[in-house]
Amino acid sequence: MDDDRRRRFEAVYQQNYEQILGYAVRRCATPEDAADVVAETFATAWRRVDSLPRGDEARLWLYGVARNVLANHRRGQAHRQSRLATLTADIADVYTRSPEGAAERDVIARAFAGLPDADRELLALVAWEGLDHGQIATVLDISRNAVRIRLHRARRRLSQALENDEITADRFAVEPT
Amino acid sequence: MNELQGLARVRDEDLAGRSTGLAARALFDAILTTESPSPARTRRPRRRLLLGLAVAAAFTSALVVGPTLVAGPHGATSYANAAMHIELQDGLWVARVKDPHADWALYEEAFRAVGADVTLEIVPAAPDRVGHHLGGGRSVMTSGGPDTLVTGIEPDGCLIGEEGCHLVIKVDENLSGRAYIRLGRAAKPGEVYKSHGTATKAGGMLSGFRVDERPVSEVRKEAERRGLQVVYQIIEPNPDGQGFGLDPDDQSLPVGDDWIVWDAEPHADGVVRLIVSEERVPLNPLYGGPKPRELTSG
Repeated sequence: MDDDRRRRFEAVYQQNYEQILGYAVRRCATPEDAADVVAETFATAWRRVDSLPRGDEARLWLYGVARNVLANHRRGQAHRQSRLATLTADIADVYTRSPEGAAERDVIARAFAGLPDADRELLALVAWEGLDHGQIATVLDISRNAVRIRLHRARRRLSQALENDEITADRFAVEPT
Repeated sequence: MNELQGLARVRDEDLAGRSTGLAARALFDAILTTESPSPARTRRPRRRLLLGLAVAAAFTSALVVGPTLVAGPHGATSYANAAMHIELQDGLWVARVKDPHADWALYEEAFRAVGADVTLEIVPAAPDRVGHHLGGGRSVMTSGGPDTLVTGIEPDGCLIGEEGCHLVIKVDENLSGRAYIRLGRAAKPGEVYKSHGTATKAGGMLSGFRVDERPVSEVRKEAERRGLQVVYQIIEPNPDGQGFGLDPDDQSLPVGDDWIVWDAEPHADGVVRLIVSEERVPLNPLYGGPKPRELTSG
């Protein structure tokens, strides 16, 4: 059975590594933090390999774990893995890429950064991970209806923040595709 | 176009290929060597409890019940119990397994006694995996160089069970993390191997015979020609061949001659296990692509 577990974990790991790495890199300020989040997320997946759902559900499940890991990290409660040199080095190049920055983007970034954490995460799951309402409901373990309502509010708050910066809000559609 | 996307530091597409890179591999190995699954419903939790009790007992009564602990200026420098002998040699803890069939708790007790946080499980393995670390490699979460964790047989090439032939584990004295080592030992007759790996490499049960993506009837014929008994493991490939599921309660289905073999593994002495599915899928679900040619040799 252990070999079956290992094979199953390996398949899930290979299929989702890049998505979880992307999730972490987009939300962590440093390569070290991103490496920690990726490592702890997959370590949790291995510890709980018997609970891993199949297919695409596995990815959503991993996003949910990564979200919790990240939250613990931000609260400073995470056990820091200090020996992830290989992974940290691998991620570092992503952080050194120069953003194709424009003044307009800075405005969006500022408005986005000013939103409550929960709003940011909802909007990011749509814009960055490309998830629909149902998938977000799975990741956050809330109802689809709650996702719809909270997304609506998050979009409204983003629009208000952008209007305050005199950027036309309706240019930034954040509907799920 | 969603302009929030422009705020992302990186898109998933930009990371394509990293899942097969060195860093991904190192992390995978590290996780497998430092963590172990917490099964939902097996005997394992009970074993862990017993193990915990055994370790606690070792700490309270180590010097009374038999193990010998030799203290140096910086703490213990050697330790022995019925299962294992450990001593410090040139900056490495050298552990020689006296009894490969002992309760795993005794190995852990020995390592803990010298201050090393090592969990050692010794499991039956195919002959070519005896003395090998089956856990996937050393951990990057521990300190030290490439020799942080070495396993093998001493003297080289001897047969476990013969006088003076030991499984040996060498661990850096300054190990700072937790190491999880799963080490292969010779299987008893009929005992199912816990090692993992293809049977088609040189020296394997089906060395040189291509098994992957062939019908069951062809592979079984070759296995029987070599005097092997055949057992099956039934998998449910994802439709695109990227990965698979496995239902442990659904392994007794009759396997058809036209089912597809994806790989073969040594199962026990004289028994080969074919990993099969009823449906053919575009990629080998075990490998997410073709099985590498070099894995069929000899």
